[in-house]
Amino acid sequence: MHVRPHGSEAIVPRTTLGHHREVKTLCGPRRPTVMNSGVFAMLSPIVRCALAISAAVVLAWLIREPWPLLGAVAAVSIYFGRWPALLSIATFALTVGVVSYVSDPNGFSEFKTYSRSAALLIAALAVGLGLPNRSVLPNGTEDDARLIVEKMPGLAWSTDPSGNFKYVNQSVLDYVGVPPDDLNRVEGLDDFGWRAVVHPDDADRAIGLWLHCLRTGEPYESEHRIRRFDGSYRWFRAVGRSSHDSRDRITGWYGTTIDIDARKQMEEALRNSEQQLRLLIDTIPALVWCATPDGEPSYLNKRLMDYIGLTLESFDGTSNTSRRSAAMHAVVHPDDIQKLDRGWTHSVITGGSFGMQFRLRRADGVFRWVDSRGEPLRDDHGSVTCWYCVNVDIDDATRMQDALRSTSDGLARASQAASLAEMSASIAHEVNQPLAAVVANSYACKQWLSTEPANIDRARITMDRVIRDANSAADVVSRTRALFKRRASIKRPLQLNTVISEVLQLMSDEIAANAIYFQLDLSSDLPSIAADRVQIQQVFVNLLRNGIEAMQSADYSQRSLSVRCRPNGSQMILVQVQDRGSGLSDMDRAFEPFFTTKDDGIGMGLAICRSIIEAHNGRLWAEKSGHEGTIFSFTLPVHDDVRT
Amino acid sequence: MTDQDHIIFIVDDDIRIREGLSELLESYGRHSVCFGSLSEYVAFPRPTLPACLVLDVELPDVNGLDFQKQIANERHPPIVFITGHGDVPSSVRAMKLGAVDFLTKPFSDNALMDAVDAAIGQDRISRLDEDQLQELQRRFSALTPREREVLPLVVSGLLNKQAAAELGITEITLQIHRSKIMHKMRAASLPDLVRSAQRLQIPLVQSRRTGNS
Repeated sequence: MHVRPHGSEAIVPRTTLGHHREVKTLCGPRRPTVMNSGVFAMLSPIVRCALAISAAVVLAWLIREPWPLLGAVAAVSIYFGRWPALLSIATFALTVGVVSYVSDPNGFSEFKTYSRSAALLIAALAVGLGLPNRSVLPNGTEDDARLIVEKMPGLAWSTDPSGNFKYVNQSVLDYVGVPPDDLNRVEGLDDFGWRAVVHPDDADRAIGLWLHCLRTGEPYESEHRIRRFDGSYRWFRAVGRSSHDSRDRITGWYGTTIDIDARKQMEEALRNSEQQLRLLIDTIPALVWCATPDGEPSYLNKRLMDYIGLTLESFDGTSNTSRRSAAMHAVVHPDDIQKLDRGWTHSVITGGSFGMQFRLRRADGVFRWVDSRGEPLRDDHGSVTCWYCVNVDIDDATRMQDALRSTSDGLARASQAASLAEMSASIAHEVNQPLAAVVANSYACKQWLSTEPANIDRARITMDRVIRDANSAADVVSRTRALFKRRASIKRPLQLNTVISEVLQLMSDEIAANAIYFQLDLSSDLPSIAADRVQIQQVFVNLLRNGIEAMQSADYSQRSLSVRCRPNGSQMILVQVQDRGSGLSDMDRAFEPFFTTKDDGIGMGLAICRSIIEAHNGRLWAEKSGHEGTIFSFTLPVHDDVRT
Repeated sequence: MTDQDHIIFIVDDDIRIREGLSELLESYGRHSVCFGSLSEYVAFPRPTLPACLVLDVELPDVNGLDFQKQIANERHPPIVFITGHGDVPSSVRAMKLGAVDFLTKPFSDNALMDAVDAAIGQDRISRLDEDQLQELQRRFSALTPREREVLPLVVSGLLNKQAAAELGITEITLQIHRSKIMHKMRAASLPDLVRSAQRLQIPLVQSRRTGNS
């Protein structure tokens, strides 16, 4: 049964009302009516109307009266909508009047018939106006659905099970500018007319998939370019679903094809920019890697993979360790693993920037120093979403620095040793000369006295010389002491924090070279002190170096050094330098001059520190820190101007 | 200085040491002259007396050991080194080059006196030898050319007639030469003359006619 659809402007071949069933269901569940129940509900509304009208025609013929037919038409009209109903009834009343006038010339009968018709018209009107919703909605829904399908921005279509179009909406025709019949299946072939409007590069894929879906009933989803009437191509996404009858046979296909050109172009742009970024990341002379928020490596750039000769996936080999641990053991120098693990864990937990130098194994097995830096990427809530890290090979620079440092160390040691030997020889000579003279004169004196008679005069002269030379020896000793005495110190207002940062600048290399975990805990509002900058620096350098040397035999995980500055009352500042080294065997003797436990030390460092601090009216002492290590603490008085 | 039979030279840059040493030597009746540097010592005209040099190793101008090496082939009084800090290599080196002793300051009077006396004694002997040789040389130089020809023949044990035959002169003439030589060389006997000739290192001659005698 072929009926032209309501939208008369649409060119719709072989469309039936039936194929809108699915569209209708999209518009909401159908109203439950009497007609929907039982066997009657299985029939389409058109069939139902036809049955009702046929029954009315039979009844009208049997009783020789038109009004059952009139009533049936009115009911159908009400069912389909108000205006068609009125139109139908008015038409029918007119028809009945003309029929009755022609068949029965009796005036009264004619009047009766007209009055019945008028009454029916009024009743129909009343029913039509009184129950607008009930009568309008089903028909309106269908209109809306039809309109939606017709006017939707995408292309809507339906086909029969073999892929021939049963319906396409106007947009399709407007877009492709091809008559719908030209889109159908090519007779006897697995090909379709719409191949002509699909981009040649996409046609085989789209049609192959469509044929596959037609065979299997699987949902059809394809993205391909479709030619517009003006010859240009745009990307579309076609989605089709099959409909089935009660025996699960495919009855047809319904689908939409939506313009996704803008999205495709954006994707393309994104892909291009991503490709460019990847190219950039792979090309820059740095080893780039990313990690998940919990610190597992998630990406290595090509340069890094080439460098270590491994891929990210190769770290997944062992199941019982994490990728991170596997990666560290595979490419990091064994001596640096703990240090790196600790630093990285610290950054991952705190979310602070990561920075560390360690030895990375190159593909050829050579360990090279790299400087690794990482920054977290955070989302709007401030939680880390990803870590971006870069390693820079600094091996050559490090080696050069090491060489320089060992040279300068050697020089310093040599000059220290040389100057010490020189100085002691010179001091010994200075003292020995007068002593030798004293001895010679003493013997002479003794000799003068033992002659017969004793030469008292000469003895007296020699004794005078003995006294003179002995004094001169004593002078040498006191001059030597003066030589070792500190120069006069210059006390100026000084910020301890500044002094510490200057010292750390000096010693950062030494701290890094010994892989020491350094903690600085400064109170930001420390009052200034009156002190000699150089001397206080010397104290810090001595104490820090002392700590570093104390930890030289310690395990890497144990090497930590911390400096703390705190106000100690309102008059003093307390500074603590804590190491986790071997500790002092003798806390009191440590500060004695020439007391040392080091093979290469002269045992003056702590003695000098104490004398400096005491010259600043402070105090320096040492104490054990927990099970291991030592805390050196000293106090310094706050600058007078600051003190109230 | 008239009764002086020796002299001790002291070279040390420290005046206190110089004073002390000369005082000590003087208390033992030894005469000394002090110098602050080697250049002063070298410039000083040394009297011809048995002498000894007490030399400090560490000197500002020349190292004492180097100086010893410089004068190794010269006629020089024996050296007693004194030093502030003596080390074994330098003392060995000094002793090999003929130093009498190597004393480390401060030292006892006995150590110094023993060393100084030994050095002076050594110098006296070598000086005596030298004086004798010079005397002999002086006497030898007084001989006439003919007498210098005759002397080797006589001390070589040739008979008068053999020696005369060698020179182609008469035996009488040779005897006159011989007695003049004995007189000029102040030789009491022929063996005495032979000893003198030995010291003067006069070569012996073989008689060409020994086989005929």
